[in-house]
Order: sequence, then C-alpha cells, then structure tokens
Amino acid sequence: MNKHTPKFFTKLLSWFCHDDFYEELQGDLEESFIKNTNTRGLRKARAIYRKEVLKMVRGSVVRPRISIPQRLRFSLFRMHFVLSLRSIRRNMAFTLLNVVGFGAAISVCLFLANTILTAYNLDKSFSNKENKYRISTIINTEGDTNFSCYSPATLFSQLPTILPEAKGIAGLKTNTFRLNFRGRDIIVEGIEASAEFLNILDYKVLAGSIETVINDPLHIAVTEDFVKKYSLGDEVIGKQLGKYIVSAVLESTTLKSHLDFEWLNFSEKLDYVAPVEYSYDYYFDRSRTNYIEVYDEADLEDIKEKLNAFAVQLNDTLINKSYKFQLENLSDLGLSRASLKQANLLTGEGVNVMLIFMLIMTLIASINYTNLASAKAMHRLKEIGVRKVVGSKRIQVFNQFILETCLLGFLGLALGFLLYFWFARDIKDLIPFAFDSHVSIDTAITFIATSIIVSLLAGIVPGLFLSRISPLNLFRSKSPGKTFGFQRVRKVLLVIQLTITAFVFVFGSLFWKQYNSYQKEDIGMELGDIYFLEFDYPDSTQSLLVFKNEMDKLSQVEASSFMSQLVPIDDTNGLMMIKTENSNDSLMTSITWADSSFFHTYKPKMELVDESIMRNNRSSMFVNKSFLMQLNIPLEAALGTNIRTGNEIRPIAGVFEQAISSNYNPIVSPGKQNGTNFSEALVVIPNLIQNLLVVRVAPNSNAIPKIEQVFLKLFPDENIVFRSLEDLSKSRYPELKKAVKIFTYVFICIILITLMGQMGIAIFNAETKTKEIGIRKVLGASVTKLSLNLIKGTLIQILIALLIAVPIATLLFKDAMGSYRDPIRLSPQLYASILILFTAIILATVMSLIVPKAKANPVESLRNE
Amino acid sequence: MKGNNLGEFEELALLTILVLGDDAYGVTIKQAIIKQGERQISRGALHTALSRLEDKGFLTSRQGEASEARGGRPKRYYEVTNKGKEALHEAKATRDRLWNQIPEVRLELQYAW
Repeated sequence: MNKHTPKFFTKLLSWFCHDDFYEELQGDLEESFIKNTNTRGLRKARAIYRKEVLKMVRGSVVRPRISIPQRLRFSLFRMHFVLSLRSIRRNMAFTLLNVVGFGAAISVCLFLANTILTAYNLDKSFSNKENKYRISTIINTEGDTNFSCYSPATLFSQLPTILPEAKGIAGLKTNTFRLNFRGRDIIVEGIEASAEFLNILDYKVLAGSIETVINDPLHIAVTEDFVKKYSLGDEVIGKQLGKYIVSAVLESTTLKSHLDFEWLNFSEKLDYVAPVEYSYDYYFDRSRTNYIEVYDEADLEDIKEKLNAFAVQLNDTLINKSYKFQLENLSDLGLSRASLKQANLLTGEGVNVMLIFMLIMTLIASINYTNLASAKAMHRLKEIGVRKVVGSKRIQVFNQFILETCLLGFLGLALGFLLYFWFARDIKDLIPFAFDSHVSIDTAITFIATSIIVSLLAGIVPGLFLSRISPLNLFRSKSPGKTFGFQRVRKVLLVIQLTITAFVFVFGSLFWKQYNSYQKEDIGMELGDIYFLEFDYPDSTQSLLVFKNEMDKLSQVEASSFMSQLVPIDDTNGLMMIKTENSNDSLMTSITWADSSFFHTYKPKMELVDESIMRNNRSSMFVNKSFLMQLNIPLEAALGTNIRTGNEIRPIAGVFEQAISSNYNPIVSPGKQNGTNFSEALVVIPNLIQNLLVVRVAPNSNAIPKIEQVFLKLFPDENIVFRSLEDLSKSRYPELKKAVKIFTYVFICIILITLMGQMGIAIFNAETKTKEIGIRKVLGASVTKLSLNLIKGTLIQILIALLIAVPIATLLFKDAMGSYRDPIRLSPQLYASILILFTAIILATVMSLIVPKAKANPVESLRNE
Repeated sequence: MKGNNLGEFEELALLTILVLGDDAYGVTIKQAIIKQGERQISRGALHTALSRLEDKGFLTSRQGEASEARGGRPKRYYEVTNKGKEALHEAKATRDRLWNQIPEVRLELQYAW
C-alpha cells in the first residue's frame, strides 16, 4: 500500500468494497494517485483519491449483505478442518508437546477441582441437615485462639438441661485402636457414640440390626469400606472381631461426611456426668464431639446464648483459659476450620490454596499453549503468503488458526480426561483428602468451556497477526515492524511463564526445606522402643497403678511413667503462670506432669540435675534454659530455686539441655514464641497416677504380648492398644504433610509443563535457524559455541524470571511462615543451590534438543536451502 | 439500461476499450473516456458500467500483472466480445440509418438576427 494515500479512506474502501473487485479497484486508485501526485501534486492527488473512494459507494461496488450459501460454508469448514489435520500431522513434535502439556494441566486441575467439590459435598445427604449442628469450641488461652471441634466433657451431660428444646442430642468419641486380625495388627478408626447418634447423622444401615449395636456395647457396626478393605465377605453379621461382634453394616462414610470412621459402637460411658468444675486439660482434649438437632421453629440465637452462659460458668473454674461455644451447621462441617483428628478434611483455607494452584496451572498451560501455537504459526508465513496471494481472505486465515488451536485444545481436553480417569482409581490413596473421582456434568461443562476459551485465546494471537499481514511482507527477507512486535509478545509470554514457574520452584523449595527441618529436628531424646497406652479417666486410676507395678516386674520392661500429656508429641500442652518465690517475675509456660520414672523412660539429655532435690521433696520441677532466661535465673543458681505455680511451691531439680515438649504444632502459641524462646516445665510428683502410661521396653524383646497378658488379666473387658511413640513422631505435622504432598504434585506438574513449553520453543528455534547453524558450522564454529548461541535467549529469560520471582517468593514465604517456630535461615548458599538447580533443569532440557541440531551435518542441513 | 440494448455511456466504454486494445484496464479506460469523451467520470461509475457490460456478455475480463505502483495489486484487462461487437455494429447501423434519413437542410445551424 502506498504510504501517502489517505489511510482512513483506504480502510473505508477495504471495509465496504466487495472482495471480488477490491484488489483491482484499490490498484487503480493507487496507480491514479501516483500519476496525480506527479502531475498535480500530493495534496490534489489526495483530494481526488478521497473523492473517488466516496464515489465508489454504489450498489455494484459495495459488499453484498447476502450470506454465503450453506453448502459453500460447510465445504469451507471442511477444507479448514483438512488443512488443520495436515498441519497437525506435519508438526508432530509441536502437536504432542502442546496436547500433552495441556492435557496434563487439565487432569491436575480436574483432581484439584474434584477434591474441592468432594469437600463441598460432604454432609449434604443427611436428612434435615438445616436443623442439625455441631457444637464447636473456641478456646482462648492468653490471647491465643484455637477453634476445636471438641467440647468439654461436662457439656454433653449438661446439654439436656441447658437445651430442653433440642430435638436430639448426640455425643461421640473418636477411638483409634489396635486389633489383631488374621494374625496381623490393624489399626481401626472407630467411634464410640451415644444412643441418638444415628438419629442425627443418619447413615444408612445396609445389613444387620442397629438396635442390637445400640443396646449392647460389645456389638459393633462396621462400614462397607471396612468389609471390603479386610475382605470380610457377605456373611459379616455375627463375625467376631476381638471381643466385639459385628451386628450391622453401615454405608461408606468416606465421601458422605466429615466423619470418616470404620466402625461404630455405642457406649454408656458417654453418659458419665463429670462435675462442671472439672477443668483438667487432658480430659478436655480427649473428650467429646457433640451434635444437636433443633426444631424448625427453634431460635438459634437463644440456643447460642444458653450455651455461652454455660461457658461462662465453666470459665469461672479455669485459670488463664476460656471457652466459647459455636454452632456449626452440619452441611458446613466438611470445610470447617475447627480442627478434627477424624478424616482428611480440606478446610476453607485449603480450598483457597487449591484454587490458586488451579489458576497457576491454567495460566502456565495457557501461556505454553499460546506460545507454541504462535511459534508454529510463524513457521508458516510463506504458506499464509501464498494463500493470500491466491485469494484467501483475512477471515479465512483467521478461522484456520482458530480451528487448529480448538482442535488441539479438544485433543488436550480428551487426553486430560483420559489421564484423570486412568489415575483416579489409584491416586485416591495418594491424595491426602477425601476424594470422589466421579465427574459431574457441571464440572465437565466447565472444563470444556475453559478449554475452548484457552484454545480461542491461543488462536487469536497468531490468527489476528497473520491474517492482517500483507503477502508482500511475508516474502520479505527482513521482518517488518509488526512481526518484531509479535515476537516480543511471545518472548514476554515466555518470561511470564518462566517467572511463575520460578516462583513456584523457589517457594516450593523453601517450603520443603522448612518442612524437612521440622522432620529432622533433634528432640533431645531417643524415642525408639517407647510405647504408650491411654485409659479412660477417672474410673481406672487405682487399677492403673496395679497394672504399672505388675508391668514393671517384667524383664522386658525397662521403665514406665505416668504422664499428663504425651511428650514430645502432644499438641495441646497445658499452660500455667509461673513465678519465682521471691520476685514478681512471672511467665506463662508450658507444663507437664509426670512421675519420677520419667527420666528412666525418656532418658532426656540434662544440662544440670540434682536427684537429691527430687528425692527430698514432695514434688519438684525440671525446666529448660529458656525458662531460666525468661525468669532471670542464672544457670548456675537454678538448682534449688523455688518456683510458684498457683498455691504450690516447688524447687528446680534439673535443667533440660533442650525443650522436651516441642509441641509439634509448628504454629507457635503463647509461651512458645519460637524455638529459642520456648519455655517449659516438667513437674515431677513421685507417685503421680495419670491415664497416660508411657513404657520403654528392652530392644528386640517382644515385650508387647507379655504386657498385654498382664493387662488382660487385670482388665479382661478392656481393650489395650499400644502405640509406638517413634511411629507417632514420624507422622507429626499432618497438616503440613498434607500441604507438602499436594504442593509436590502440583509443583512437579507445573515444572513439567514449563519444560514442555521450553522444549517446543527450543525445537522451533533450532528449526528456524537450520541454515544459520549450517553456515556457522561450515565457517568453523564448534558445537559448544553453536549451542551457547542458541541458548543465549533462554538464559536471559531465566535470569529475568529469577530476578522477579525470587524476591516475591521470599516475601510470601516469610509471610506464610510468620507464625511458625524455628523458621529456616535464608542463607545465600540455600538460594544459590535452588537457583542453580532451577537453571540446570531448564538448560538441560533445552540443551538435550539443541545439541543434536548443533551436531547435525551441515551438508544435510543446507541441502534443501 | 436493461436487456441487450447499449446505453450511450456503455457504447462509449466499449468503443474506448476497442481503441485501447490490449492496454484496456481501469485507469487507461477512464483516462481515454475523459480525453475522448470530454467528460469527467468516476472510477466507481466506470466500474458499474463495465460490470453491467460484463453481465450482458459484451465484455470479458482477465487478471493482469501486479506492479509496485499499484501496491502489488493486479490489473484487470477488459476485452470486447463478439456479442459486444455485434451490439456496437447494430447501434452504429441504427444511428447511420437515422442520420441518413435526415434532410440536409434540417441539419444546418440556424441563428436568429
């Protein structure tokens, strides 16, 4: 087009002129324009040009508004379809990378979406769920708030008095125990519930008699999952499992509700009425979860007021702790933030994280897809040029690209669904949350729509550009300005993709390092060969002492100790205000009670100890160094210093080398600011009896069966479950573990998709530079130099990506880890190793494709040029 | 005009194309008509006339070469068909017949004094 012709009028003509005559008319106008410019001057020529264009507005010139006959339109579509298939076949490498990358992203997003949907759909199938609630508790301890699904033991027994208007009240206790089944030990997730449990959470009874189970504590109901898991067969009713008899089978609980149990029995122990003033932390923490059903016309605010009036009464008996009750509707429990040891539940925060992951995945895959589509399009400039010369219209070229990208998009979508269903059967065990693999119509439609949108966007970029470009420009050796702009868009997209991937890589590596540091932390004692037993409190206290004494007589038992909580695992340590006797210094500290066998059982490393103080006093205290520091007690003066807790005064008899109850909730709580400030105290009372008994057995001594024999002799009706402290310590941080697991899958997927994108671009670069490589080789360039030349662009992109991603990832990591104790040190060495690894992975992938091209025989590569 | 009759401008266009011979395309036809016919016409009006003549079968067209002056766009050359020539002969015969029937005295120019 002549640069001097009036642009607007030229565009106007191209808009209204019939396509059949446009070329000749525009050509005539331009030829006349040049003649007029030479004879009459530029200004006059432009005026004549404008007039001629306006006079072209006549019926014979204007584009007709009649639609193309249906037959012609379909044949055009078919032609485009055939061309698309041909293009796909010709560029198999691109096609595969595009489709696989997109498909992988779709399948991961499907898993994440279904995990979220599963969580949302939990508890939705119970009857009258609008009127059913769980009573959860907000526990406030000196400014620290914990939202728990449990409520104090006293609440259940008081509920009929507090809420006479409740239609139904049910309480349950989770009960994980060990069972010897067919010669091996299995761990069973059980529930002990009150009689009205199934009235409120109305799980379907598939077989047997639930009345028998309700009326007899030795009869149990198992879930169909349990029956399948242990192949109990069809004739399960009446089967003996330990001391229990199976009398009913319930439907599966896994995808139905927030409670994920395998067997259920009913126990009148839950009807035990504990005194209101009972405030023992241990008892609370192993207490009940309570549910109520109200009538339609019930006033919820009134119920909340009554519950909190009871809470106030309870709080008067507590020191430095207060409760507040909250009603959570049954259908919201799947995403409740109230901590629950049952099931693997996704909280509301977890949903947000999943959604962010999905967004990142979709973004990465879309950028990849667009980039590869654009790169492929640039490869076909000459093809487009020829088509335009022989008469292809802009819209036809545009439609071609859209159709191709949509076709690839559908292939990717199909592959994504295929991968999803292929892995869904087995991946349930790997996903740490409740997961229903069924894909609903709505989900499928959403994913199809997303795929179409991504495909359209990917096709629009090259389609718009190439359809507008002039055929002359396409054959020019030097790219005009517009092509340069298009290349820049692609490079920007690549940098964005690399930046997101670098961010995920750096953040993930820091997160994994933090998690690893918690896993490897030295807890200052050896946990191997230590087991623990829990008992129902308070009925069996004296019997427990008898049991301990009998057990200690066994040669296989080295030592045993009663304790108030399970050091170092328990995540709900008691807190008390501590003061020195003679000063006003006070400290809120974590406190544990144990008998004097603690040291033989745990063998903690001691900084200082004076056993005579322990022997000569009714009770004594053992503390850590942070405790001393915060109370301004010098280490050398620690032993014998009196400490006041409430009305009791106890001397310090020893100092631990490091904290013994590091509270394996990595989120710090008051009194445990961070690892270095964590203060704690162990109160030793020689003849203390608690309902937690910790036992150290001799190595390889097969002590457990012997201990069981002793136990069953004394408690024939009870169930004994020994759990290994070492095993339990390995499964600490379950929330972090879940996060790490999910993060790892998404992380790997994102890296793989980015690598696929890099591979595609590397292939494209190598192929477009075949001539250049061949000539450089002929002139003597080495393979190394050629390869470096080809990866120069990638290196610069990686550098830019890291410069942006590293500070953002660091800031977000510090923010996320803000309330976690012992944050890792962000040293230059740590960053260097992460960055080097990231760069190495990307470069290795790219080099693996480029080096063979660089090694190619120049005779072969230049043969067809 | 409808049918196979030639309009005045159409006749002019056909004659101009015949005069131009192989070089009859949009620009040259227009220039020739302006010069020979001593009248201004627009390219659009010419296009309408040429399209109509092509529809009637009096003209054929073919795509010619492109040039840089035309922005890489091809020319469209026009050629009068036999049917077009017949129509021109007929129109000329009709005109000649009518001209021959007019007495000479009626053709003299008369002025009022």
